[in-house]
Amino acid sequence: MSDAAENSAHDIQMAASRWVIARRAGEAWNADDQARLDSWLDQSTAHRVAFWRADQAWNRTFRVAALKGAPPAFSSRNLAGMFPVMALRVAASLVVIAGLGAAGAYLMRGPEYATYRTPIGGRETLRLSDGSQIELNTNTVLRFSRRAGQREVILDRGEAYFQVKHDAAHPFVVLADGRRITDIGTKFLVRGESGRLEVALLEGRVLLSAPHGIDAPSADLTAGTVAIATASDTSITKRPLQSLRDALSWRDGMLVFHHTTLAAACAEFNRYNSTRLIAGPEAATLTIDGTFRANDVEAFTETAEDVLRLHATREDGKTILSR
Amino acid sequence: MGFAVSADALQAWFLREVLPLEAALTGYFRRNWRNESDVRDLVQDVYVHVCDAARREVPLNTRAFVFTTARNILIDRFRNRQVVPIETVGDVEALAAASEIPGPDRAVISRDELRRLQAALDRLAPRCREAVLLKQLEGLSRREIASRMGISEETVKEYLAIGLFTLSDIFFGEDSK
Repeated sequence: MSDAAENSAHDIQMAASRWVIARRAGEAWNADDQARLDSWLDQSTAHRVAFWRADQAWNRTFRVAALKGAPPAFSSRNLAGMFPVMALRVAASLVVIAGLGAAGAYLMRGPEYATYRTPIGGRETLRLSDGSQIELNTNTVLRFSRRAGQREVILDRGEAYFQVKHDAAHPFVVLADGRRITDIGTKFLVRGESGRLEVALLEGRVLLSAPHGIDAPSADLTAGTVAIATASDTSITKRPLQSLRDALSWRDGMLVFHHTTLAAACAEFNRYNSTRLIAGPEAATLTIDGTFRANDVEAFTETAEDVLRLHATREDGKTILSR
Repeated sequence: MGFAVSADALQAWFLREVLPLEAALTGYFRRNWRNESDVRDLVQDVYVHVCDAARREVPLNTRAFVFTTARNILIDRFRNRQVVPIETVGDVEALAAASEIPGPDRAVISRDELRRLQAALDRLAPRCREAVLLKQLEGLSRREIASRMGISEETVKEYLAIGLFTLSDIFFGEDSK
């Protein structure tokens, strides 16, 4: 059998670990090193198996550890005095823009707004003097009302997570996609994209108004519900809290997929990165599970290649995953 | 009937079908062999035996083949000691027949896996853990790790190797539940 008689499995596995470290975690690995490794591997099946095993363990450490790196600098701004006086303090990295038109003309009348915007792949936390907190996800534009005593926010584009300190005298209102979301003490996520608004409730209650100009009662959303609103319809579904929390993993710079189609996963990555990920026709409906760093397209691509047995083609800013 | 395989295919087969059985195999030997310090060698004997056999012909039912091999290795050892407590090798049938087919060692990175990795790292000796984290999380070179930790590059290599050795045991030799 093996040379286990002279070499214990322990010694062989330790030697295999050293080889893996030398090859995978070293800076210089040359043909001579490879030849020495090959000759060690050829000495016995036990050597070979131990090497495969340790190499696999190193892979696993690397893959998973790659995701645990510190998320890109997560800046948080302390907007002291923002509410109720709405003193305007714009951090240097934020771009101030005036008068965005996307939110509907009726919103543009009246108060002035302070505008915050994150670039693709960016994140920003706004801490308000009333103790509320708003986290802006990638590629998001959000405006505050600067009118004294008013707590009003307009989400022009993108996604934001709100943790609101309740104040019955000053309701916290989010305007998005022609709808009004009125907080009743709560944590909620709002995401708007091309005519579709999604509101997910993690805690508390909010009222979601009918579209502007339509005379219908507001929807009363409670924890664990998700409302998906289009220009004319509102559908409300219950979702497990865990799935809502997964939807918030971007706050840690992560994306969580559960049986997500490759097409949808690619679309998620494309929200955070300038590299376009494209699922080829035969690959689009495959599903994938896992937690990935939102800004690490390469790690995701490699995993998709491994797990789904796909092939990645990289060409000018595009990565195509296909069979 | 099976089929003969190339070296690459053999490695892929081992990683996909045999290695995920290590926890069950380790448990089997622990239950049926008194001397804990032999378990690692016994598992290795099974690996060597099934891989040598698979080089000629890959078994269709890997799990059954692995546990039958494990039993035969035990019986050989008992024989050498001239004690054959046959009943102790009995649970191999149940193990071999288990319907649960080991999933491929998917590179999926789930939250569970993150948690398990965290738990595994926590069990490393502090200096090993530090070296592994500096390498894998911070992406430092061995030289940078050496200067950060105030040790030689050779020692860094040794810490990394010991860390990897321990992590391999935790990943494959223990039940992940």
